[in-house]
Amino acid sequence: MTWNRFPLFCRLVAGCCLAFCLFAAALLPAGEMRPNVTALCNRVKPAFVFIGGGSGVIVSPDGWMLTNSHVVGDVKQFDVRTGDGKHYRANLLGRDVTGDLAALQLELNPHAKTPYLEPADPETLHVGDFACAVGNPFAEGLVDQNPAFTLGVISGLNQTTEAYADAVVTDAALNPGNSGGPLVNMAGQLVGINGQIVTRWGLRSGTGLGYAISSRQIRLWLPRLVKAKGGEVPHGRLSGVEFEFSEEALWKVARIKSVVHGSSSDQCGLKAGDRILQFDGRAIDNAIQLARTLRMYPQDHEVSVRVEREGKPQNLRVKLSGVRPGSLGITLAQPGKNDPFVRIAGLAKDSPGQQAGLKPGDEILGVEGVEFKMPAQTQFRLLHVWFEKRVFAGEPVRIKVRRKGSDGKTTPQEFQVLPK
Amino acid sequence: MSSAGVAPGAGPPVTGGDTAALVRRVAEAGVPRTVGIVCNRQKYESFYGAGAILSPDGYIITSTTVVPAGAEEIKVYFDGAAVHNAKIVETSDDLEATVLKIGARDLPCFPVTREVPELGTAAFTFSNAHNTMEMGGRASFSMGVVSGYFEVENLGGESCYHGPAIETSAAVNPGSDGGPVVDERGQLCAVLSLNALPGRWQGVSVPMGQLLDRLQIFKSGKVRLNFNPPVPPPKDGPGALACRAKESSGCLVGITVRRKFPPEMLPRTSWDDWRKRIKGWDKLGLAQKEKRFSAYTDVETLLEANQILRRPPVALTGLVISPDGHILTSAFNLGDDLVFKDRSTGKPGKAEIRNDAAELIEAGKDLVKDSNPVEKIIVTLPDGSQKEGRLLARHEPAGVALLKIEAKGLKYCDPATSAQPELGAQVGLIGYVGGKLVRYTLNTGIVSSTSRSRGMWFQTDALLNYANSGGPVISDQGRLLGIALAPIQPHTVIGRVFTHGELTAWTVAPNSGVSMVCRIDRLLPSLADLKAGKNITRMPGGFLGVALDPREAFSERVVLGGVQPGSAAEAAGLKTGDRVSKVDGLPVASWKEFSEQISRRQPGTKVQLVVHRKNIVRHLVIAGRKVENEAELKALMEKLKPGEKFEGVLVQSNVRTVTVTLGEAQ
Repeated sequence: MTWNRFPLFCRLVAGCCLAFCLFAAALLPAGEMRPNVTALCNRVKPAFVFIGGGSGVIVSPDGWMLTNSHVVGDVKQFDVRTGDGKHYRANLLGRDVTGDLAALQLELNPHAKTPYLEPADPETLHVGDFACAVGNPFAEGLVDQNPAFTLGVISGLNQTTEAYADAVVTDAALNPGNSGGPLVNMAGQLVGINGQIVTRWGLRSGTGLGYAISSRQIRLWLPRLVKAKGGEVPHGRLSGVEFEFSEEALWKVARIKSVVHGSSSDQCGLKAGDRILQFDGRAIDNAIQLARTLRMYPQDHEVSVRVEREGKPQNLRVKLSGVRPGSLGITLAQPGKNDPFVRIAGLAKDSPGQQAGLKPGDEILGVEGVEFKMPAQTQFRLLHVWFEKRVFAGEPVRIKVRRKGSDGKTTPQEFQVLPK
Repeated sequence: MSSAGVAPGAGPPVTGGDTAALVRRVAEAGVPRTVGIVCNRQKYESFYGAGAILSPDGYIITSTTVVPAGAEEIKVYFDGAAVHNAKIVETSDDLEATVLKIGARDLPCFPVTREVPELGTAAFTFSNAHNTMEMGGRASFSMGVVSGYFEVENLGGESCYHGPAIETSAAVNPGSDGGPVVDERGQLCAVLSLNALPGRWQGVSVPMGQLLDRLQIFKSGKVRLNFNPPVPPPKDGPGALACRAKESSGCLVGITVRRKFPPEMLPRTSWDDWRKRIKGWDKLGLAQKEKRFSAYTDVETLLEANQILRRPPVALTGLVISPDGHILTSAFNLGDDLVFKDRSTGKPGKAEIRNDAAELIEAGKDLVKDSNPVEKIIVTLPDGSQKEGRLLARHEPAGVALLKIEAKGLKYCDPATSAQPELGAQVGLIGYVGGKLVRYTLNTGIVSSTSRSRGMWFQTDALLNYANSGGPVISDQGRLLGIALAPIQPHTVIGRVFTHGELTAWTVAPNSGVSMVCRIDRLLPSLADLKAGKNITRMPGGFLGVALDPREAFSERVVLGGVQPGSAAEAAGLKTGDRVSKVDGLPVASWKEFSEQISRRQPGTKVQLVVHRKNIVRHLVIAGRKVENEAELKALMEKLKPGEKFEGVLVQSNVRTVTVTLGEAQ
């Protein structure tokens, strides 16, 4: 039970109420509650960019531009136009496909400067702040090349969606075509890059619930994206660490169950039994929250981690390893109708699988502590996806097999394979 | 930040910050007072939504669509991921309300009011949209206005509240139901319902006054409610837009359009009705029950999605612009709809609730498409009297229609006193709603773009739906800016149920926040013609009949993405993929420049285009004559005498000059 949270809660809220009343006595809205944003729109317009079927924004005086990765797709070069009609060629600098961010370089004349928006300090933003989105919804601005401005408030901060690790939620109208465009505060600073909307009943229109990639994410990723030489910037990972895995534990605590010897986490000093208290300054309540927080960082990022070890807090510096797809060198055999498990068909020469001691004919009972109980055909599909997508270079994978010995008896064994 | 004389985007804040700080306070206070609620009934039915904390000892108000009578395993999720089990204290289907109780003390709770806030004042919603709170997320906050106060009927299905309802333009999503609507003084004034006014589809909520007067638990005095508003009422009353809208509402009329085939509402269903139709329900296993329940939710969402794309049987909006009964409205309101008729009966296809979504679509298989013309127009005046309206004329490119009724001395809005929209300025979209309470609605927004559709329209983010299409859009000075146009694209259809796949082909649905408005200042020059009964079917200016290549939309190349059959462009031999570099000797470096050059000229004028074609044009010049193809070569050969000497030159060029006689816009 989490009852002990409430007293603190109430104190905070009481403080709020007090401030509320004091404030109200002094200030009251005379006219409209919502501000007139004419001056803001005109100021932001030259930093807005029309790109493909979406939107973008210039974020540096020498022509760095941000948009969504899903707006860029696989194209490396674009013709773009700013909100005030200027034409530029834009070349891809780097992408974060998972986080849906892409940076491009506008081809400027030597020594030329361009208007731009500065990412807002995330600490200065509050739920309830007015926010204005700029974009090209439904491509209505395609012909007259005027972007559309929509006004709303910040509905939520630090929210997690399937795609976005740290999202700003807004009720400013966002629709298809707004993707990649800026969400700005009343000071004209970049609050986020609009990218996802919640639609209703399968219709493609927004419903007042839109998600933007936060300025915190922008500040973290922009420096990496512009150095990616047109490639992808991988996400960081806390590799070689296993957390206590039960439904209760996941929501209650982020405690390390085991650390793989020789992994980057081991080298940073993380140990089995450590409870993560803080990650990069953020309080961590449970493993789910930690997993969400981890999704924010690019590879090689160094963060401070505060752990509780044997009852005492301890500070560590952890360098996140990159998420690089790995290979095990294992070929799987298509299971027959009556096979209970999937068999290893072959192992590439000197592959991690072979080096770990696996042999053709071994039957796979489970991976990473998950024991298979479903039909072999399903296991086969699952293993295929697992080996393709969920195996990372330098991160050990535990594979449990059973092998027929010379005496005809089968014995289950577990192997630790280090993917290349 | 600023460098080399370039103005950076950032600068001093545009608002004094007073109202901004107030909104922030409302948000900060409301988020921890809002809860997410999840529950089950009979193990296989699951519900989620929001609720509002009413008292420090844990009374929570929510809706029956979140916690129905008989619900079990009710979990209440607090801001900060704390979770509590709750018990039902009282439920009322008539009020669509459920009161819950959790064991707690010293909870932060909403101050409550019985009063209905004035139209146009700020309204805030807090929501467990898409059940984010169960996953540890926070309540999402949205700001809008009190956009309407009218009576709603029992829609059938889950939503059964009937009575006076407060409507808001703040965001409402699945999971908002049961959540609080807070007025500009920070008080809980209503609870969000799933009910809506057909044709408006905005957030409708049950006023707290209704709940406090009619629920036993409140009448008993057991709940320690807080009636102290955190903020006194604004001394100046509601904002300028609200006041202006009230003044303008005197010129507002309701328009009822009768078509050959009346619009049909799709059948509605509730899980309880649905379950009763399943044979042998009691004998089904849990897995089977779950399966049937999920089939029901599929059908329900498909019906709702279809419903939103057909013209509802409600009054639409018009604006009186002369004392003797000229009325402006959107041409969409009087458009001939499409109808899908049953091949055998000749009547519109009728949807019936079937076992699953696939069967529902099958039902409308053997259908033929036809139009559904307007047969009668009835205008409801502010005093409630009704008159038959006559369509005088339509302005197709502007998207408006002019009606006339026989009347004298009407209150009217003079279009000559109109103003131009200013980018980012506050606007109000006023709609007719009728009924006994407040007979108009007000959705507010800003001018999103001052120019759309060659400057005839402007764009706003004020919510636009069926019922307020044709309504006036005003500035906060009370000046008329325009007439709201079609709420959906392309047009409304009856007689068919569309699949989810087909529905996504619709680009703009009602209330998307991308709303087009006809600019009154651009309409004024044509108003005399419209009054004289002259239909205007075309944009002024020349017309070529070419479409832009979207791949080159933002480049410096003007590339044709398509050529309309029968157009001036086709007659002149222009082809898809051609690049135009000059118009009458003037270079064009964007589609915008190109289209401006063309529309500036009058139909019938000749214009010279320099055209670049991708495939290099090769032709021979033989004896001074141009030979472009084999037929021409043959003809030339026949004319040449044997033994005659001639010189031939191979000309290669990808540039040619094309002369086009401009047509009229379509």
